[in-house]
Amino acid sequence: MPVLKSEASRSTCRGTPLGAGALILLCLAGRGLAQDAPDTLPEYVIKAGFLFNFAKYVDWPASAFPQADSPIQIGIVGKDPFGADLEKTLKNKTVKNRTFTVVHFAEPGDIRSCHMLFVSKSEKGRLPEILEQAGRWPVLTVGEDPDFARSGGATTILIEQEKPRLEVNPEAAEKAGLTISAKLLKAATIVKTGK
Amino acid sequence: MPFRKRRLGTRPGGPIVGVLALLLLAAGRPAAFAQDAAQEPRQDVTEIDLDDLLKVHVSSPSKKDQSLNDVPAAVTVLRGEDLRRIGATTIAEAMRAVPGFHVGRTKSSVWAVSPRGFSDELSNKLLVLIDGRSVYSPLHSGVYWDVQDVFLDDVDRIEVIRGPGGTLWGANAINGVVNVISKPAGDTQGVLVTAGGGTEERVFTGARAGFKAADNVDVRVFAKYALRDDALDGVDPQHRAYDGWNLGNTGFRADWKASASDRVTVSGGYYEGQVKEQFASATLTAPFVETIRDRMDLKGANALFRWERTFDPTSSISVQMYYDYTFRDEAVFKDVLHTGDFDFQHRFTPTEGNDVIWGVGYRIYRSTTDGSFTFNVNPPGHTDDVISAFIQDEILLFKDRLRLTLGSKFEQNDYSGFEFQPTARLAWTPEETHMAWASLTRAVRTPSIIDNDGRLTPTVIGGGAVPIALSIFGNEDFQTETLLATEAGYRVRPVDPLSLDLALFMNHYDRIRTGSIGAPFLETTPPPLHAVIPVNLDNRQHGQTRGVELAANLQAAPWWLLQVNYTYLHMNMNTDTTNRRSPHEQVWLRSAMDLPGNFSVDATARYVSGLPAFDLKSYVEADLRLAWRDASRRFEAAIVGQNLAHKSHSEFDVASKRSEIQRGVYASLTCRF
Repeated sequence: MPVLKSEASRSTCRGTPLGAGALILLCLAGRGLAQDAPDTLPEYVIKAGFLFNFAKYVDWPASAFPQADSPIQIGIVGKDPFGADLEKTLKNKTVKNRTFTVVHFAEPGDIRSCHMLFVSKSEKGRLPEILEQAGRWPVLTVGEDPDFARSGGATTILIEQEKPRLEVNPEAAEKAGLTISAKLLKAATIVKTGK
Repeated sequence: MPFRKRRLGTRPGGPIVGVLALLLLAAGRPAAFAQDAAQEPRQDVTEIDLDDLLKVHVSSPSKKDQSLNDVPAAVTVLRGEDLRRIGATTIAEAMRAVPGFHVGRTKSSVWAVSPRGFSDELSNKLLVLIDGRSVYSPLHSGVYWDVQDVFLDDVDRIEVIRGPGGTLWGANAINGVVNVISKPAGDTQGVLVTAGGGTEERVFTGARAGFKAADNVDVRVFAKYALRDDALDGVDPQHRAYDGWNLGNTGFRADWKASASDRVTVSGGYYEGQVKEQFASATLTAPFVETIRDRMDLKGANALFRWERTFDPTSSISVQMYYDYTFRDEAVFKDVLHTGDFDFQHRFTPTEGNDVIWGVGYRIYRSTTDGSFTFNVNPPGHTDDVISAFIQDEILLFKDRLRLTLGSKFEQNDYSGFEFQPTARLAWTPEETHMAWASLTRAVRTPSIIDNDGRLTPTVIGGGAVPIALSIFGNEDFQTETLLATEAGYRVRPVDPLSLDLALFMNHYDRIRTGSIGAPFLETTPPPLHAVIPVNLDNRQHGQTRGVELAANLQAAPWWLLQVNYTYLHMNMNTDTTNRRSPHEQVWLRSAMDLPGNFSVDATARYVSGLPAFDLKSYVEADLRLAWRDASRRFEAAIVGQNLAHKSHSEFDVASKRSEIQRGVYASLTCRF
């Protein structure tokens, strides 16, 4: 039979090995360990941020720029997923004294010389054509399709479980005459061209 | 993402529309609002360096809906951010945000959480997993929501499958699966301290510290404590009920990147708490009923190990093992349960266009239930195991447009023997913004311990020559409950800020639990001599349910998200009391606004239609949250009002068994450093 338990224990909490003291200790223990908590941003603001960072951590051959302060040209091929986010992000920003300009290419055949080429998801079926076109200049190709770098693209910005991940194909970058800094290589997953 | 036993990585097909007051507020100063919002600088992404940028989560709702777009099932994802902004303090309360779910709060800390009908405090057709650990009780197949307590800031998301998930998850996932997924330790670095209190959520406090233990090892530890006030008595709402709750909870998680392709996770936790309970209990001596007041003791511990190796994006293996201990000392029984579980999964692509996932599992339960006259289990000890295997193939039929998923789970259990739970799902994605799906699934609920060996005596009738006890008895021949579900759904993003998710189902249930009166007999123990009228559990309930679940998301402005969920349910079981326990219609509305000056205002409102089984009329309730955080987002202050529409209201069960839930207000402070 059930037994009426004592009322005396009314406000006690046996499940509290977690008093204020423990909290304070925990707080002190963790102080200074951590950076700011991860934030959230829209996908294409994040991707714009990576394009800016690529400009910082990739070196183009001197011949790629007419002058020491020529802007870095970012081409977008296919359906532009950035809206106004890319222009807004890069407006008045400089890397190594260079500003940014953005150009759009509707078709692979329209691709002209630029420094970075963002290959939109819409172009998944035309990758070989695009990579061949871009291969004529020292262009850092940037894709968002999971097969991009493996197909011979230089870098891929993937979103997995709502977080970004980078893939770099050093072989492809080298072929384009680009030097990728150790920092970027370390942050990325290295992949090779191949099926 | 295909429909598989993996994280979905998606976002809510959530809902919505603004609450009237907010609409008025916004309408009053639209110009000023829009301007301020536009001027508010978004964080400059060029100031985030490479390594930090990799830690930023994607927030765009439209993009998340894309991945959701691929799942050929009715799926809702609540993100950690949604939980925070809704102001939910428990998983059970958060389930109100999921279309198709009915959440009826019976007492201060007792909830009936049921998807697609069959509402009950011990709803036995729902599978709940916390980081891969199953938490329903094999005693009765229900979930004790009062101990499913997590550190909410560490929750990455709650993935909810509405409808049968048995093909991958096994028995009990008959009407839905709730999968609580916490963030990897690497995402919770730093210290977070939170504290608050109010009128109903009296005290809550918690702290978490995340750090790097070694080069590739991230660790976090947390501790929390919360105390919830009594609600009001269901029969006499002038007085307090005796149903308060408190729980302390501590745990850790470590994630080790053993190599580029290997991830190892080890986690563990311990909790201890108490819940007050008061109820009328039958006795064999006059007046044949006594009021029990008890403070139940609850304890639990768990430890989990998981190893995942990823060969490439479509090929991986994982091994998971866990041990779980629960201890529950209620007034009329004491239950001790040990669970051990092993799970192996392998995903691979045998040929182009086939994505196969298969796995095997073994689970062992050892339970001991010390009962009483009111409730007991005979024999009190059980050691049961379940061996299972599943396989599923997702086949591309036509380019990326048409996919067929075929699969089945097979399991062998000690009660009903062999069970199979197959599914066929077809998904058609004509373009990225549209997806239609349809499925046919068989799912089962296997017998629980009480279905076989339980005895519950809710009533004793005195006044005759001997007292007469009405007892519900388990039945060794109790059969598996079965469901044959036909489902269809459509998801569309007609314009970028709007997404719609529609799901329809028609379910045929068979062999659902019922009771039949058996031949009376006399019993001498416990004394005095008494007659027993047995009600033997059997499987004579069958019928159909039909339903519609609609979720709409509208990003009305960059700073304003509106969601609406609509749920329609028609139950036509041959036992009318079942039909009358679940609401016919429900509406849930949410408005989430980011205001200038780092303020945010969140409001939810809900309509739940009446429950004739309990003489409960329909009700409308609303929650409101106002928060401010500093520009660096290290500090947040919030004030939350819950159930604001009434001083108190009732949600579920008969008056003698329920409490009235009161309006509540609490404030909280959260600090990260």
